[in-house]
Amino acid sequence: MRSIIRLLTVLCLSAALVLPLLANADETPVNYAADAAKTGGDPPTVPHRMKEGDTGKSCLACHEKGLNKAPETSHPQRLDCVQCHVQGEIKK
Amino acid sequence: MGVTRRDFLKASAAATAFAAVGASALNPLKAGIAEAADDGIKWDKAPCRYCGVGCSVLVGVKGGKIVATKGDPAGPVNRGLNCVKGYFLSKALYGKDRLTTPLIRKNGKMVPASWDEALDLIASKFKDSIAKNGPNSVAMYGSGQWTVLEGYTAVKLFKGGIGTNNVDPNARLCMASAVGAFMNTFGSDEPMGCYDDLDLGDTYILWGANMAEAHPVLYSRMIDNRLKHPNVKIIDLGTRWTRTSQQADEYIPFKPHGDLAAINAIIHVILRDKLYDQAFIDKNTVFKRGTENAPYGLKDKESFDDVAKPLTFEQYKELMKPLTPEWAEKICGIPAKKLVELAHIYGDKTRKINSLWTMGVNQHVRGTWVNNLLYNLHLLTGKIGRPGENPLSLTGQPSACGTAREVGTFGHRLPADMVVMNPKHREITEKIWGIPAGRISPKPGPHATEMFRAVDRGDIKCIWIQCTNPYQSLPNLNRYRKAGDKPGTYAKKNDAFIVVSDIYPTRSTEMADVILPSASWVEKEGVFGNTERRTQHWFKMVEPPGQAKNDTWQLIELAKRLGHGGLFPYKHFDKEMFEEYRQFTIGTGKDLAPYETYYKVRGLRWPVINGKETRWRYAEGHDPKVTKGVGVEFYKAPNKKASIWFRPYEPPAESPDMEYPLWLCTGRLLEHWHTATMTGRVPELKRAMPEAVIEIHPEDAKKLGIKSRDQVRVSSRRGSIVMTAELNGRGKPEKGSTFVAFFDETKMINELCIDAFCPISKEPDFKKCAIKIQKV
Repeated sequence: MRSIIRLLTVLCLSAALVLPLLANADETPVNYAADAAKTGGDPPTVPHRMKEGDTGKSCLACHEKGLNKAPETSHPQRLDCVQCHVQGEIKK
Repeated sequence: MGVTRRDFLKASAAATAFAAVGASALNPLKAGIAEAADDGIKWDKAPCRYCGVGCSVLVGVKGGKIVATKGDPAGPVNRGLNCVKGYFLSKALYGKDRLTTPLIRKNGKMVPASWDEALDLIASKFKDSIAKNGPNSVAMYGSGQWTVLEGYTAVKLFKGGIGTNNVDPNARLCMASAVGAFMNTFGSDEPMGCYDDLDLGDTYILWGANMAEAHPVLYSRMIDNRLKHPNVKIIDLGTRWTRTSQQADEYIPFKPHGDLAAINAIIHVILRDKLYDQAFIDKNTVFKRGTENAPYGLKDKESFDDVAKPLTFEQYKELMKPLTPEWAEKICGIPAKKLVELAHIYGDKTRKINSLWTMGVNQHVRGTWVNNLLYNLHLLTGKIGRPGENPLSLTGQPSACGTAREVGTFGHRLPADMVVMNPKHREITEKIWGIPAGRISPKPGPHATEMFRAVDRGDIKCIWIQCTNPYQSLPNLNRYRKAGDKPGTYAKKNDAFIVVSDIYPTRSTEMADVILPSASWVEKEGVFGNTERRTQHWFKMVEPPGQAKNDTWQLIELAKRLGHGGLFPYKHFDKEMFEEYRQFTIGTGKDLAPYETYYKVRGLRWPVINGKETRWRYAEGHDPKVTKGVGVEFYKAPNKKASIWFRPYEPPAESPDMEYPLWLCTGRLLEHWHTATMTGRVPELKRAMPEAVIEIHPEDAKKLGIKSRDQVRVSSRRGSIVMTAELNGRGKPEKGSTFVAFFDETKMINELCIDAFCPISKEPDFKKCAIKIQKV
């Protein structure tokens, strides 16, 4: 009898532990499509010459505000621009 | 093979409770939502195919093809960011010359064949060789790009079936020195810290690591930390000015091999000026001296034993006395004053210090020693095992940790840090594998360099190469092949039977007698383990092209033909095999979670105990294996004490002289990954970086009459190639040094590299040899 009570206690405790977690888990479902919509895809390549030694600051000189017909960046806080934007075809 | 989505949905309900307990990156999947996107693109998650950082990417599939990849905003490693390689991943598998059918060499020509024909041929060659010359006449050369289960299959087949330890991965060329030092310092492989240290620390000291190009996303994470916390300092020590130096707070140049002297001098000052943490040292460390005047591996079959002699702290201090900053300055070129300053930075109790390194330290003829010395800095100052201050060796391949190290695909290793030389380890392994006692050979198999030397000598008759390109990435390549019929081609030197599984033609398929077309990345289900102990899973999302098949299937087909099919009796292959492998980890402090747990999370860092991942190993409050009340406990080391090794200065294997007056260093750059078999087929990457050049210091160039973009002949004692010179380009080597990236298969710089290696780790030194340059 005692062992049955012990077993029941264990079962109840495990259920009590697991159920709220399941409920909690359901509140934050994974939605890969929604995640993908939050973020950009292929970073545009650079259609003009870049000088070696140019820094994020050199890029932001035009791209922060969109001066000289440069596209304005959506992410001026990312300073290592060339990590994603590599030299592309140079338009003459 | 693999779990279908329906199987997975059933299993996921059961696993949800587990993951929910502790996974900080908790994300139970609701497949229905993901499939409901209206542009017809179905999204799923996978770790990036390329480097050891282990970024999470979202993979968009439409019409059975990968159409896009994005940085995963829910990925804890990269938080929505990728580097340029990751963004263009969708194109990496769709090069025009993708291998789609098995090919067999007949009369010197590669001819299409059926899988049965190819596999029967391989099996007959293997059987023949084993019967005539014993099991050690066959070998497997694998990869840190193998998935966990691909590596596990190979180890089980070769060590548990065929009965040879002739399995080694390309990771031997990449982070074996880190492994060597993790084992002899802490008694367990892989780091105590994690990437959170990049957000939580305030001082980052980089030892010869060009993180901005080789680990760009981690570099960005560090730069973000600095943007938010202006007290963050990044100090870049290197032999070449790089994009990393450009953004660092300070660049400190040193002479090649000078790290060995510089770190010793910093330790000298820490001892001299009493900057150490006596209580931490007393409680957590022992002192040792190893075998000195070590060899360089230049002779075949050279053996070396690092015999440890115990030292007292006083004896250690005595030994360190001659290694002064003034002594080191002469060797490394860093001013003595600067070395003293660095020692005081390491010893500053108000600063959270992180040392970061990668191939500069690991590909080093004293690589294990330099790793030891870096650990000494952290052990002496007690800056280890605590959030925000740790040493971290950055890994190069996506599963060098998960597969090569954790599964143990090295010649001497078994899963979970075990080794074939230990009878108890063999017994544990034989039990889990259900094979007869004594099946696993106690004799360690050859390391990568020795394996290819054995092929060259004719000792190994059959070798199967999967998921890597050794005939471009080994040092001293000319030893292993001869010129082919046409210019720019190569051919085998002897009648060794070579099988290569890959996705594109490479410099290694060029050597092959049989080429097998492989499935890659999300064309199969898989698991990778990254630098910070994060195990990440992905599902198969698209079919491989043509007849391409995954590497596990290929290995098991050989196993069946050799009579070892019984080793792989699984119905739900990936899950059952992973659960078998997981048994090795349980209770060891390397514990992995049940397979289904990984379906939903963007990876978990082991040990995963009671459903919780571990961010800092050996740290109380983070690692449940640590005894309460002790703070930090190196519980895997003998007597729970980490080793502080005395490691003096010894010279490089080859230094510049009158005939070959310049240093050559090789390495990576941002746009291409390793030998560029994938990135070289992505148009955006190829256009941005079409060819490898040799970077020369302007003063050295002037002496030789060389201008930027001139064609030059670069020669060492081992080889000679013609390439373009670059002055003041992206990287700027110090005077007397040159640099060439190794990705370009038309300019194989590794022909010039010396095949000297660290006597403990057997990792070759790709960073230092002597060359001369002539204008063409």
